[in-house]
Amino acid sequence: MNKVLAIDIGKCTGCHVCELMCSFRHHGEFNPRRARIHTTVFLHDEIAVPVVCSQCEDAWCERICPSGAISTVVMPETGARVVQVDEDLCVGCKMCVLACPFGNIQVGAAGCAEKCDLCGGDPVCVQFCPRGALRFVEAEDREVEKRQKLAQALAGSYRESE
Amino acid sequence: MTYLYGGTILWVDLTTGTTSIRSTLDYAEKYIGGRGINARLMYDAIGPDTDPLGPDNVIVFGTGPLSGTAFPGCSRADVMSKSPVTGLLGDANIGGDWAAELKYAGYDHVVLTGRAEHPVYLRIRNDLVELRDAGELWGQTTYETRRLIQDELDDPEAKVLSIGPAGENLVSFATIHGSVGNAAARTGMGAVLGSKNVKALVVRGTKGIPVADPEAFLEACKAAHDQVKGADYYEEVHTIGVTNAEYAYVLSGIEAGGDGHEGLDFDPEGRTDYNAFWNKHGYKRTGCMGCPVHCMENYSVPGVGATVISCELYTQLTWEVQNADMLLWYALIRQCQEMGIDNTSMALTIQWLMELHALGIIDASLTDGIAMEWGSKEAITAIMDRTIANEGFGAVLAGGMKATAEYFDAHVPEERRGGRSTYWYAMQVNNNPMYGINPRLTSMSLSYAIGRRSDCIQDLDMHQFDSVTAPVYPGWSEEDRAHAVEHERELAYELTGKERAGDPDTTEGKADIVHDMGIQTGIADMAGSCKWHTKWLFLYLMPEHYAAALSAGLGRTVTPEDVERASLRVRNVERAIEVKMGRRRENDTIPEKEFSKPVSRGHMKGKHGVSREDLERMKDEYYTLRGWDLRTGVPRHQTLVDCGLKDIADDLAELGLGLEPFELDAGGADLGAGEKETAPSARQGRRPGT
Repeated sequence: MNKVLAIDIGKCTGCHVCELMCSFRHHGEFNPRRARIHTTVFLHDEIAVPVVCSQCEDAWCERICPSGAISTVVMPETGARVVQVDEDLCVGCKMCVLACPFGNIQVGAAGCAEKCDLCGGDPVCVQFCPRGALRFVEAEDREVEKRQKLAQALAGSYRESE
Repeated sequence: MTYLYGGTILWVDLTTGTTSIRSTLDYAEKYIGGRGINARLMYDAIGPDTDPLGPDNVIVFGTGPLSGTAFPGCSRADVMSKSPVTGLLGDANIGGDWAAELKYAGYDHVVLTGRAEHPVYLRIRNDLVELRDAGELWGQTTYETRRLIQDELDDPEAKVLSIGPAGENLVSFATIHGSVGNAAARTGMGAVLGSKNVKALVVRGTKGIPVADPEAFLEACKAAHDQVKGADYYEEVHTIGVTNAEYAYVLSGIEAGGDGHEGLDFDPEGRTDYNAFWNKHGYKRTGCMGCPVHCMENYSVPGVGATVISCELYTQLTWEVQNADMLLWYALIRQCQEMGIDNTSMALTIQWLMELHALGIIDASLTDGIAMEWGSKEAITAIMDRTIANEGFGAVLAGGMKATAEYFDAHVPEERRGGRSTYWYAMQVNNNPMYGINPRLTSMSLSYAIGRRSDCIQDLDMHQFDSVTAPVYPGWSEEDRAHAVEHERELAYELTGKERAGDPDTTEGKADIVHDMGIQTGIADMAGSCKWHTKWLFLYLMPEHYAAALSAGLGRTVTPEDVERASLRVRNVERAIEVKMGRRRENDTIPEKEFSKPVSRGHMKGKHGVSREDLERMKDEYYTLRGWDLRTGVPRHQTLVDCGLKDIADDLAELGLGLEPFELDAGGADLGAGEKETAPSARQGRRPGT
């Protein structure tokens, strides 16, 4: 098992429920600014794109952390890889913020690095996403689904050309 | 710590450029928030002499305690001002992303007073509040304004409400736009902002919304989401959307009413088929912040661009004006959004002109040489352009239907007008152009007549709506339809205790349903969530759900009865405002020409045709439920006192509008002989135990 947080941009409506629930779970308040997942809505193209930590295989934030606060663990139940922050070890130096090319780690009001921890194995954003744009699935399944979608489209045009 | 609320109401005096704040909690318990607190602020701010487009008018933007939380549909802001359209209370509600952001900045309401000397925009970033020069933005579309402001502030996350050129040009039915597809569209709120030289309100907030009991609040939100998602109608709205439902309504004759449609077949090839348009140009469903429903659709049309469309927009600039060109329709919708003008008002105004033209009452010489032929592409586009620019004949139209009728009446001899004012032919309530919803249906006529802000949406009796239109919902079998109709009938009976309440062909029980609907939608409006999630759209969030979320969030007990009472209270505040502006029983009506005429086409052809007597009887029942005087429609002194509005009761008395109990009884006895009036109760009409 190797579960991952999968994003389907085509389904995202930009409702920000993921941000609301994320901030609520981690900070007990509704505040998209403190969420660890962010959805950018491109109003003029009407496209919404959720961005969240991809739990890098070779995480730069982990590599650069001078206090050893960031480590990668594999969750026993789901096999999900999580790059996580040990709040007791974090000194708030923000090197991880500099290192992350995607802006998916931040230093919050508590002076400690904050990032997606997959909610310990049951991501709340996935639970509440109303259109299923966010899913917590086996990594392989995600690709299978994409391939099947493409295959369906190809099959459709093949039938038409027959 | 302040839970759920941002905590402050921000006052901005545009004339002096100064700001002040006041605690929201002064109002919160009694009026909850959103439309509720807005109404109270408006009652204290405007009077009969207030010029809607003068510096003495006030415009209020209000969020609710649940705005910005994970409660379903938590995206709404309510905008209130004195309306340049009706001269009464103006009110419009907007979704999108702005309301939540205002809460995150620490504010619940923003009140704008006075008039800025030159174009400005209000910028709020947490505690920073400033008026910035908007000279460069003046004349820009709503789409562009948002982008330009985000660029100027170097903040792509800034949330913007803005007016377009129509608002700047003081077109009376101009709108305020938020994120694409969202507008505070009705009653001319954009013109008020334009008159104050305010181009936009820009907000960015980084503070959070804390709740008193996170666990209980989460449970309340989950329960509310489950309720919405478990509703029968959810799948329909969620996957097919309300524009499709709108198409169904049009085919059934529920939508696009009016004489203009009689005997006309403008679309024999079925070009207005919404599904065909959606399949070709639609690509995704979308919705507002925090919404599990997603009632809106994304479209992209090559050469025109992308936008978001929902619901009634389908009907107006197609069927109402006999235009079968869907690409033209799409371009016009986009133009309305970019220019900041109300699609409904514009379409119904054009429809009126076309009808007058068809009847031979007006000709091109009165309309800048534009021949107002039914469905004429040239006429529609030219009239819209001129109205937005407030130029030529457009300057007459920009003043609204009544002003336009005065102009026509001065130029057209009486015999050509059938001995009537041209105003008689206009589809309006208190000068507010009507929706496409057909006022010839029993409870629709009541919804229009008593509607706050002079339209039907708030109090719309969707029960009746559905029981007659269900046959055409896509994807529903005959069995589904029969089930839905039966279900709605049962609910109507349960609510009113009247056997035929769910029957479309009678006035029985309609006042109860309309009254109840007003209470339900009022609760959502006060909470800052979307009224579509109430039983109004069969998504069935009930007072219990709001009360549970408010209790958990605020850390004090709020009962379902509390929120219902607050809704009744707020409606009385609004009625008191309108009464102060001059609204009386005789203003609660639909256009005279619509009486006693059956629906002219569709599945509903030949049905209904509400008579004046029908409507007056329903009004009697409705006023009785509300505790309003039957003779005048003014809230009775005791009603206001019972609602906890003694100061307003006394105020009305001082203005000579207060009706002492003995006067009322006399008035009531005249009209409703033998009818016993009682103080209003939210639960009234329900059978015991329901």
